[in-house]
Amino acid sequence: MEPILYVNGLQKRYGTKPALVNISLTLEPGRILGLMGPNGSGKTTFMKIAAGLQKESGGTVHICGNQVGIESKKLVSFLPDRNIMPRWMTAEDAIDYYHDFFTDFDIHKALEMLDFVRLEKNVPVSAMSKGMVEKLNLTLCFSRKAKLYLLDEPLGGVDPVARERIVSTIVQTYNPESSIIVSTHLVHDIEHMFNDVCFISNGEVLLYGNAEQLRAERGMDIDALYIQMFRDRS
Amino acid sequence: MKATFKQEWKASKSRILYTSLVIAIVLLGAALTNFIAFQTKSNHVTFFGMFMYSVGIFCTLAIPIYALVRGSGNLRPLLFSDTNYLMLLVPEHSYTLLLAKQLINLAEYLIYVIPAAFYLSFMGPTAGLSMHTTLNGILYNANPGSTYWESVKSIYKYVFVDNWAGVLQLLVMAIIMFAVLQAAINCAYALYSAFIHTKRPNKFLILVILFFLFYIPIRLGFLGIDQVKYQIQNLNSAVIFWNYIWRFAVFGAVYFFLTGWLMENKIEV
Repeated sequence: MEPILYVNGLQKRYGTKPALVNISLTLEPGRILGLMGPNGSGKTTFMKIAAGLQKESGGTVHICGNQVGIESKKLVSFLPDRNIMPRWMTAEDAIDYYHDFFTDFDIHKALEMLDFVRLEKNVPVSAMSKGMVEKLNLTLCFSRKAKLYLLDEPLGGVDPVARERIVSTIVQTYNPESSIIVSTHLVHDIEHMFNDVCFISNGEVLLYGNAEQLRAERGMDIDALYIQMFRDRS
Repeated sequence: MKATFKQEWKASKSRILYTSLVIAIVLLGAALTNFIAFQTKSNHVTFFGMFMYSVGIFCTLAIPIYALVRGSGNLRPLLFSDTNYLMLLVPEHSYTLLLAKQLINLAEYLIYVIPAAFYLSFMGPTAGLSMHTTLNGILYNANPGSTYWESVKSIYKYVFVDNWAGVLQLLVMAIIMFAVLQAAINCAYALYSAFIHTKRPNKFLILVILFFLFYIPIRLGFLGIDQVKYQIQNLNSAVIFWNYIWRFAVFGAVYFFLTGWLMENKIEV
């Protein structure tokens, strides 16, 4: 079966500063990958390249066999770590926008999710709190039947109740034909749902493997492993 | 394309509505004030009318600039805002997005300009009011000896009967030049964003880029323009401008495709 995401020798430089160094990984359908690392490690850059918002400086990225571009954007659902909606839009406008542009967008699911996360349809983005924007982004992202979901820091800046809802939404969205990449440094809250983990620091992959195997081999959970790996580096 | 149009229109419609209302209030206010001044020959109202006349003319001249700077065709919020990059996530070619943005912006320009021209036609007969006080009560209007409404009628006859072909061509030329301006401004933003990119745009550098984008077509576009003044007889003579307009149009097309290419291959958010 064709992998959902195939990354080979990916490099990214901002001027002379390397942001990603020779990243290679393959994500099969039905997997949830935790992309973990401290702030500035390259997680968002990686996500943005896969989403088509930034260009790679070297290497290749394929999504279901497509190079990153118009075709891959049809298959990728990206949850950014900030508001990307114009401030005039209401939740209803945002849903209408996604419905217009993404053929895989399920409007009924979106409306159900809005109810589930208790977000009013008519509130404009300009009047939303950070947590409300997060819920809206989550609704839009998961109302698509995408092949690859890229979730950039989905738990950052939200309260524990909202965090719980986000985690349960991610788990509910799981299906064996798609894959999810979650970038985070709040490992403890969501490590139980990862099939694979990738630790990244200064743009380089430090550790990449099956989460269950790593727990068994290292005799500790992923959270403890994360702390051990990054304690000496920070 | 249809979705892009729809969403661009949704994003622009309230601004277009409010701006149209402001234009209507200012210009109709100016036209009404001048009409009263014209009919009553009141010096006091005429002074106010003169002021409103200037405001009306300024308002009309400022419309294209307003539409360009604040209009939906402008790439600035997309390229330089920390947010707003939603549009770059959608599976559409940058050329489609850009074209839809610029066409809606062009529509915005026409929505402002056509009613403004209509309102101004009611100020035309009172143009002579600006000389009212200096000439000791002697009124000058566009058609001496005729009434206000006869003057309005003569303006429409001049534009739509006597010179319709020239007016039509001038309108098309104005549209082309507006599109060229749009393309050049967006190209300046795109070049800055692709090769210089800073968190906050440096307006001076963008203006320098814009200057160079205009310098070449202006030099080429206006080669021989000094001969034009000797050839213009009336509005129908506008046809001679085509020789210059198409040169600008070619540059506009080059800037449009360069912007689209940069968006697809160089610009990052």
